[in-house]
Amino acid sequence: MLDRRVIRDLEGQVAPSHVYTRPADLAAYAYDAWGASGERHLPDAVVFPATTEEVAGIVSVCAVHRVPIVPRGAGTGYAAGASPSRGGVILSLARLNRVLGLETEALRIHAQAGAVTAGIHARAAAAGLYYPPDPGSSTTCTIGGNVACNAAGPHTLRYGVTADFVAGVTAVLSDGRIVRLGEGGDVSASGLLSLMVGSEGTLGVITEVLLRLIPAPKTRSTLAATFSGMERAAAAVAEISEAGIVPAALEFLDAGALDAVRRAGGGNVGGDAAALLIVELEGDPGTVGADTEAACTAITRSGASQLQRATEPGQAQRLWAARKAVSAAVAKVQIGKVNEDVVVPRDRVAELVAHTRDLGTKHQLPVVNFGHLGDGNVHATFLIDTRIAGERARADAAAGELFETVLGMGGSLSGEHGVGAAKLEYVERQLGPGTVGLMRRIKSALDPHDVLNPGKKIPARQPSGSSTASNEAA
Amino acid sequence: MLGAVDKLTALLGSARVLTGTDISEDDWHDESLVALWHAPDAVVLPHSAAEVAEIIAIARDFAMPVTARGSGTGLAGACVPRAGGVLIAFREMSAILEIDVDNQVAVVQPGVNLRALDEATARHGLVYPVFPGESSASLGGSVATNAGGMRAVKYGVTRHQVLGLEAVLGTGEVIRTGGKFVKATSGYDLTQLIVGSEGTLAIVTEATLRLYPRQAHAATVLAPFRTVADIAAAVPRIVQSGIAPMILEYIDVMSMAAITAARGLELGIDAAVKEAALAYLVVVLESRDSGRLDEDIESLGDLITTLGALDVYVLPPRAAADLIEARERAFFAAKAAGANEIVDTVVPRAQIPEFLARVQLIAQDTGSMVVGCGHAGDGNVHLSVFQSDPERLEQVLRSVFAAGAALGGAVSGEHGIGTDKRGHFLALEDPAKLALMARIKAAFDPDGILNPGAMLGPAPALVEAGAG
Ligand SMILES: Cc1cc2nc3c(=O)[nH]c(=O)nc-3n(C[C@H](O)[C@H](O)[C@H](O)COP(=O)(O)OP(=O)(O)OC[C@H]3O[C@@H](n4cnc5c(N)ncnc54)[C@H](O)[C@@H]3O)c2cc1C
Ligand SMILES: Cc1cc2nc3c(=O)[nH]c(=O)nc-3n(C[C@H](O)[C@H](O)[C@H](O)COP(=O)(O)OP(=O)(O)OC[C@H]3O[C@@H](n4cnc5c(N)ncnc54)[C@H](O)[C@@H]3O)c2cc1C
Repeated sequence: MLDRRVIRDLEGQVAPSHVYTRPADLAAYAYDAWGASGERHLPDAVVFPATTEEVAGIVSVCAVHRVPIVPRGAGTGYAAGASPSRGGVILSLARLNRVLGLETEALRIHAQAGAVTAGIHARAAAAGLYYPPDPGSSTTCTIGGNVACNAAGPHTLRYGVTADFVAGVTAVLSDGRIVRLGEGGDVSASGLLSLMVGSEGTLGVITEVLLRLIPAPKTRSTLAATFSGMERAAAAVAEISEAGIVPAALEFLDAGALDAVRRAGGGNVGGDAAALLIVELEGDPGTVGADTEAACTAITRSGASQLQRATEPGQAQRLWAARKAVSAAVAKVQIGKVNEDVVVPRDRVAELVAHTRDLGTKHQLPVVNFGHLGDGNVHATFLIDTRIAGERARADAAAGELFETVLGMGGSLSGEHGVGAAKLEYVERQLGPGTVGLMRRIKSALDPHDVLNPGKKIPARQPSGSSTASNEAA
Repeated sequence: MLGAVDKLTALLGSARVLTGTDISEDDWHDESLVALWHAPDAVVLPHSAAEVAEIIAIARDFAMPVTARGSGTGLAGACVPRAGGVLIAFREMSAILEIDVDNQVAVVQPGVNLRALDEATARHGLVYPVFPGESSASLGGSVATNAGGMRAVKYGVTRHQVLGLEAVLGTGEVIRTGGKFVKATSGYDLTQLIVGSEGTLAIVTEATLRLYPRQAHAATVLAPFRTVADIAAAVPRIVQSGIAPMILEYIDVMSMAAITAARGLELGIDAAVKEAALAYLVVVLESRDSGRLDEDIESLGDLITTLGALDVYVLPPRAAADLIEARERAFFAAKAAGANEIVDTVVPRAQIPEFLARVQLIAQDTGSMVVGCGHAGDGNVHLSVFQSDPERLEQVLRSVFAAGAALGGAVSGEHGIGTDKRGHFLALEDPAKLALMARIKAAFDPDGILNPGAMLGPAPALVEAGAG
C-alpha cells in the first residue's frame, strides 16, 4: 500500500484522473505478455503523465519516497518487465503517444516514447522512407518499449536491431533529471545512449526518441521453401550467405511449429515438410532480381521439397502467413508454454533445434521452434498443460538444459525479449559474476536507491555472505 | 620492498618490460599535433588477458596510471603515457584468432592492424568495412576510439561492427561481452560502453568483429561543384535515391589543391570547370556485379548533374585509388603544409554549409586559415587550422567548437577527445551527462588508474613534459 502522501504528491504532478489507485483499475497492469501465462503482482498506482516534465515530476516524487517505478509501454513484453515485482507505481507512457516530426532531408523521425511502432512505420512509409525494426507485436507495442528492450524483428537481419536506429533519446534519470543522449552524433557520449537502449526501464524512463530512417527499398521479393529437415534449411542459408547475399529476412519454422500452425487451422501448410524457410530480399530491382535467382539456386541445390516465390505484396503476405501465425497457433493448440528466446552463432541453429527435440523427448513435452534463423535467434518453446502437475517443472528443467547447450555454443540466453523478471535467475550463468558485478555497479551509479524498475534485468546481490568486489580474474 | 617495475619484470620477464632508454620515443606520443610528449616509467608487452589483469593489479597497488597503446596513430593525444605511468603496448598480442566464414565474424587480438585484417579477410571474400585513413591503426585502438572513416556512410562506424569483447577492468577483473551473434539482450550493453571509451573504462584484449561479403567491383566518381553548400544540398538527394554509396566525401578547393599537389596527382579536370569549382564531391560505388555498377554510375551521374555538378568524372582505377589514398593522407598533407591543429567536429548533415560559413568568419576575425574536407554523408567536418600563435589558436578552437555545439553538433566525430580536446569537451558537454559518465567510469575503474586525463576528469600533472 502506498502512503497517502505519495498519492497526494503524485496528484500534484498530474491531474487526479490520471492517477489510478482502485484495485479494479490496477488489475490490468499486473502482467504483460509473459505474465499472461503466469505470476501477477498488482501495482499500488498507475500514473499517466503527458509530458517529459510530468514524467520527471513523477520520478522525483517516487525518488523522494523511495517508491519503485515501473515504466510501461504497451505491456507486450515477453519477460515480465513492465509489471511490478514488488508493488510501486506503474508509469504509463500511453499519453506520450505522438509522432513529433519527420525530417525527410536528415532521414530521421522524432516521436514520443508511447507512440505505437506501427505508427512509426506508417509515417516513414508515407514519405518513401523505411524504419526496419519490425517486432511481431508492431501493431500494439510502443517505440519506447522497443528502445527499452532493444527489440528486433525479421528484418533486423540485414538492417540491424532497434539500437542501430536510435540516434538519440530524451530520458528521465532516477533523480528526476532530464537528459538528452546521443543527438548530434557526439561520439564521447554515445556510450551513454547505448547503455540506455536495452536497459528495460532500470536506468531511466525514456520519454522521446529520435530514430534514423533509410530510403525505402524499391523492390522486395519473397521466397518460401520447405525441406525434409532443418539441416537442409540450414545448408540453404549457408549457401545463400556464401554467395555474398545479405537477405533482409531469413526466418524459419521447424516441424513442431508447422504442426502447431496446421492444427490451429492453418490448413495444410508445407504438406509433410519438417522445416519452412522464408527468405526476403530487398533493394534495387537489378540486385533483387539477381539475388533471387541465386537464392533459388541455393535453395534447390540444398534439396528443398518445394519452393514458392512472390514478387507482389499479396502473394508475399500469403508466404509469410505461417510464420506470422506461429505465436497465436501455439497459444491455441496448448494452454501453456515455456517460451525461450535463445541465440547461437548462426551455423549452430540446426544442431540446436535437434537438441531441443531430444530435450522434448527426454522430458516428454512437445517442442516448437521458430524464429530468426539469419540472426541465430531461436524461439524454443516447450508446450505444457499447466493443469497437469509437474509439467511446468519438467519444462523448466528442459529449459535449464537448453541454456547449458546454448552457452556451450557461445550463445546468449536472450536475443530480443530481454530479461525482465522472468529470466533474471539465468543472467549470471551467462555473464559470470564479474560482469554481473560491474552491471550492478553501473545500476547503482545511475540509480543509487534502486527505484527504477527494481528486481528486473540485473539480479540483485546475494543477501549476505557474498563479497562485493570479487577478483576472480587474477 | 619490490617496486612496480620489479613486480612487472617478475611477471613478464625483462624482455617484455622496457624502461629508461630502452623505451623508443615512438611510444611517447601519437599523431596529435599538440599533445605533450612524455616517457612512461615502463612499457609492458603482455601476451594474454591474464597478463594484462596482473599488470593492472600491480598498477592498482602502486596507484600507477595505465595507458593502452595500439599503433599510436590517434589524432587526439589519447594514448600519450602519463607521468609515472605504465604503457601497455599490444605489439605482441597481434594475432588474428579466427576468421569464421560461416558466421561472417573475425576474432582478433587488439594489436592486429587494419591492413593485416584486410588481407586476411580478403582471402575469404569477406571484408571488415571500417577504413579510417590510417591502415596501420590497430583494432584495439579502433575499438577504443570508435574509429569511423569514409565508408561509414554505408557500413557505419566501428561501433556497428563490434559484436563482443574481452576486456580487463580497472579492478583487474576480466570480462567477456557479446559473442558471435548480432543481438543479445541479457544485461546492459557493456560492449557499446567500452567502444569509444579511449582506454578509460577497460583494456580491450580481444574483439569479435562483424564481416561482410567483399564486393568485387567499385567505381569512383568525382564531381566539381560551385560551392560546398551545393554539395550539402545534393547529399540528402543522393542518400535518398537508394544508390547507397560506399563513400560520400566533400573536399574544398584548398584541400584538393594540397592533397593533389602532395602526391602529384593529375585528375584531368577541365580548366574552365576547375576555375568555377570551389568544392569537390567524391562518390565511391561498389557492387558484386559490374553490370549493376555501370547502371548505378549512370543514374548517379544523371542525378548529380541535375543537382548542380559542374561536370562528372568517372576516374580510371589508378587515379581513383590515388585520390582516395590522398584523401586518407590529407592529415599528413596538412601537417606538411604547417597546420597547427586539426579538428573533426560533427554537425547535423544539413548544417554543414552554415557551420563552414561560421568557421570562415572565425578564421577572418583571427587572421587564421582554415581549410577542410569531410564525410559529407554523416556531417563529420575535418578542418586544418593554420594559426601559429598559441593563444589565437586556442581562441579559434574555442569558437569553432562553440559554433558546432550551437548547431547541434559535437566536438569530435571520430578522432575522439583524448587529452587534446578534453578542455573543450568538458566546457561544452551537459554537466548532467558528464556526471553520469564519471559515475560509470568509477564503476569500471574505481581507483581511476585507466588513462586518467583522457576524455574525462581532472588532468594529472604532466611533469617533465615537452620533447615534442
Ligand atoms: C505477439 C508478440 C510478438 C512479439 N514479437 C517480437 C519480436 O519479433 N521481436 C521482439 O524483439 N519482441 C517481440 N515481442 C516482445 C515485445 O513486443 C517487445 O519487447 C516490445 O519492445 C515491448 O514493447 P512494449 O511497448 O509493449 O513494452 P512493455 O512490455 O510495456 O515494456 C517492456 C520493458 O520496457 C520497459 N519500458 C517500456 N517503455 C519504457 C520507456 N518509455 N522507458 C523506459 N522503459 C520502458 C518496461 O519497464 C519493461 O521492462 C513480441 C511480443 C508479442 C506479444
Ligand atoms: C593519416 C590519418 C588518418 C586518419 N583517419 C581517420 C579517420 O578517417 N577516421 C578515424 O576515426 N580516425 C582516423 N585517424 C585516427 C586514428 O587512426 C584512429 O583513431 C585509430 O583508431 C587509432 O588506432 P591506434 O591503434 O593507432 O590507437 P592509439 O592511437 O594507439 O590509441 C588510441 C586510443 O585507444 C586506446 N587504446 C588503444 N588500444 C587499446 C586497447 N587495446 N584497449 C583499450 N584502449 C586502447 C588508447 O589508450 C587511446 O586512448 C587517422 C589518423 C591518421 C594518422
